[in-house]
Amino acid sequence: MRKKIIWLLSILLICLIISVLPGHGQSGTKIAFFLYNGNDTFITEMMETMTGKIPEDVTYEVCDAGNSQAVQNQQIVERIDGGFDLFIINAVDRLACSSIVEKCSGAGIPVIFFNREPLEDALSGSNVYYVGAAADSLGKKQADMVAALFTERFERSKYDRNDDGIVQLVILKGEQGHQDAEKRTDNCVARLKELGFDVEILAIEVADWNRSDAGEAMERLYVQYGSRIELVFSNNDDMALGAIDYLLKKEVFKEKGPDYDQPFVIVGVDGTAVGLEAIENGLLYGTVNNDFAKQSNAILTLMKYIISNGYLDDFPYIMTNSYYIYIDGDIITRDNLAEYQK
Amino acid sequence: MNRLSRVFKSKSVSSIIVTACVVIVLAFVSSLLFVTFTSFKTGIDGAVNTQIRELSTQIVYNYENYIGGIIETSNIIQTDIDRYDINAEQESGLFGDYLREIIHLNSDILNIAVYDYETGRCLSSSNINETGNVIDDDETNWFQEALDNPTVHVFSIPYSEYGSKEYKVNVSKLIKYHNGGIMGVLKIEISFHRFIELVEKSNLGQGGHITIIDSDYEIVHTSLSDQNAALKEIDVVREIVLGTQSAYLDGYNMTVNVDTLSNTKWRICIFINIDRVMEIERTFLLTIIIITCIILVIGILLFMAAAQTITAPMKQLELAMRKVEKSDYFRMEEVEFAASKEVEALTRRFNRMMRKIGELMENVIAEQAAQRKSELKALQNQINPHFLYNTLDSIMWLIENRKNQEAGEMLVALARLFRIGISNDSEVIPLRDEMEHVRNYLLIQKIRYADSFDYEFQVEEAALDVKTLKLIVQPIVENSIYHGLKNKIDKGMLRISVQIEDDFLFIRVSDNGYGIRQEVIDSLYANFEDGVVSNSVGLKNIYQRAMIYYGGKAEIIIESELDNGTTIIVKEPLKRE
Repeated sequence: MRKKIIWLLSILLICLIISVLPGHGQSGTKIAFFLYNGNDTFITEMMETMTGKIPEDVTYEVCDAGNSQAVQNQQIVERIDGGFDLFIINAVDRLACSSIVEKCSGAGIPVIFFNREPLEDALSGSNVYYVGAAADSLGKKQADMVAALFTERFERSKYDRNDDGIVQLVILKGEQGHQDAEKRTDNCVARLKELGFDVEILAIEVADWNRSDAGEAMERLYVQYGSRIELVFSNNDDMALGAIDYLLKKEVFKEKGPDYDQPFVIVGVDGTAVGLEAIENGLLYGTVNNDFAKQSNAILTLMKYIISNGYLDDFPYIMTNSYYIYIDGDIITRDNLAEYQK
Repeated sequence: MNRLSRVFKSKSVSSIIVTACVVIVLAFVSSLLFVTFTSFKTGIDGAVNTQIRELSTQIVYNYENYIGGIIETSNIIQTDIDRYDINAEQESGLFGDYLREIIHLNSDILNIAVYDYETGRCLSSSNINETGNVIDDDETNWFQEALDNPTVHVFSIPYSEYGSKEYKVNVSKLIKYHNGGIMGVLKIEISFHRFIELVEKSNLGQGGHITIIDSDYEIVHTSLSDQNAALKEIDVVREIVLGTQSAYLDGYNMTVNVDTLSNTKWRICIFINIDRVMEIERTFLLTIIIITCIILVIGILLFMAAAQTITAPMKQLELAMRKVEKSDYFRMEEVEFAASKEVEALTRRFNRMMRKIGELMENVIAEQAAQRKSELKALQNQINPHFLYNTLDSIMWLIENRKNQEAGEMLVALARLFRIGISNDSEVIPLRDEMEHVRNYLLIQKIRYADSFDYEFQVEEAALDVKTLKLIVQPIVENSIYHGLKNKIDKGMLRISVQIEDDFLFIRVSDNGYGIRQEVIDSLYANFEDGVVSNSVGLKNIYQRAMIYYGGKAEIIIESELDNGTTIIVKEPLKRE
């Protein structure tokens, strides 16, 4: 009798302990996504693309930091002992990455950063990666795209409006200090020079990635420089569309047959749906797609490698400086638009 | 369960009740204590954590706001500098004016200057005197750091210029100016005073403080006056990396919160004193333990009292019973006291039982008296003077006729007859003795009636040792002789047979006399039951003695056939109920 009771009690106790033990019954892979801001459509679209492709045996959780690094830190710290196999982090502040890496590697959790690029000294140790757009390349491709318009040595190029053999351009810059804005801005100009053009930057206007801000910026630029403008580089499609909004209003871009009469062209980056539509309509000359589908694929492939402890020697993406995977974009103009429209 | 009952076996009721109740109460109260304290602790810890988190978030927010202001200023400068070709002297002067305006807008900024990134020559500055000087990069290494980290703002460690007590931080950034064409280094000198002010504003409790470290765990700033203590704490911070943990530092219970500071490589470590919370928890625990003990003590006392109300009347009952047990004669002893319902019921039952016992005792006494009387009658019969006279007369007659032999036998028989009738005090005797008694009686009667009848015994061997009521067969035999055989013309026959059938002893006395008429039999039966104690020594006397002794189990049956004989059957149970 007494033995039976002791047996019963110990079985009960064991059941209790097992049920209390963390991670019990969770045999599959568990990952967590940390987004800098759920209000950023680029990030949420990218997130949707990724979650749509996550294998069924992988459970995941998505955390939105609401643009606060303190909140994101908290979210990471809370999940550090949660039995996660991988953190996929879109950091709020690039400079916080080194602390996050230190914390996660201490807990043995691999980390993939995306979109916000950590400084080189932040990534160290094993199983820490960054997947993002090749910002330098995106800018360069903007230049490559328009090069043809000016290559006829300018005498015959209608885009060299003052026939001085120099490309007078304005730049609509994203956020001041934003890595992508800086890199795109630097590289589009640099590449144009590299291709042998003489370049004169009339002005760089910061429009915070924003369509309406860009409209106002374009107004300032047009009022000041007017007919001197021969080319507009925009750091993204939205700002390019903002500029187009203004130029249509001012009838600088005039409807002419099925197309528009444009004294100069505007190129963007991203390849958003509205951007592609503007290309189709002949308003936006072209864009370089910041291909989040490809980035998502790279992240998911990397995820599988990390989870299955695969050899990264077979990894199908090029690894820069052991930690960085840059996804290049494609030039999209009316010629190849059909390939990218859904 | 066996074991449990074994444990409780022969323990007093009160100790069983008190033990069981104390165990239950103890289990209940301790689980209650555990749940209460756990939920209280979880609750208060949660509240404190939330509070600490909010406080930390607020502090971090303040710092980030402050830093953000500087960064914003820097971004404005970077945007605006695109329009200036500060390599040209005139534009450099104009930009200097612009920078001075900026400084007016932000009191935290002490000085702003832009340097050629190759030569380190100051191109333009809010400090007119500085323009044109080649920098001599100080210990904060801001110039080189800016070149090494081209995409971010570099915050130097705080420093003070020689002879000044004011701490400054250099924020430097590699920039491009003149439409992004030319690179340079922007330096913004900020006062560190506001940083320290922000620390002092926060209420972090006794010993609470803030330490800011860089990515190499070097202290940038600490509000702790003791630098060595601050260094010691860095080990705790190293362990935390990011997040919140409790630690015991320098005599205080602290919650340490480590967070990043946006736009810098710095981390902020906030040490908040939670001694008060621990004190509250300790007090709470102590209070509930004391309350538990009080409840337990009160509980034990209550249970003991409750047990007492049950057991005390029981003890009284027991006392009353013992009195009854000890007394040599039965005396009515009614118990009366106030007690619980059940015990009162028990006492009522006890009293009722005592009354019943009293009644029974009286009955028994009455019955015993009746029995004695009947026996006395039966005995008296033996010394019936007529019988004695007749017997002695017969003996004399035998002697006169020189039948000495028979006279001797008759005397012996008479002597034996009386011996059995008188000698034994017991109501019952072995059947053997009873038969002996009848045999002696028949011997005497047969001699007296000059062999006018014969008799025979058919006694089952097994029945001989069975006990039977004494002096029960002789009166029947006597009746048979007087009423059945005495006046018979031919020779009478008397048969006495004893058998055991179905746990009953059957004693049959049969004669071959005239028989008894049915009315007479009926009136005899009716006479058995009329309740009047018989003075005779006939069948009724036998019947009453048998009823008293065997309590209804015994029977007297009369079977008779006219002119053929009569059988009287005495049916006695082998066991007395």
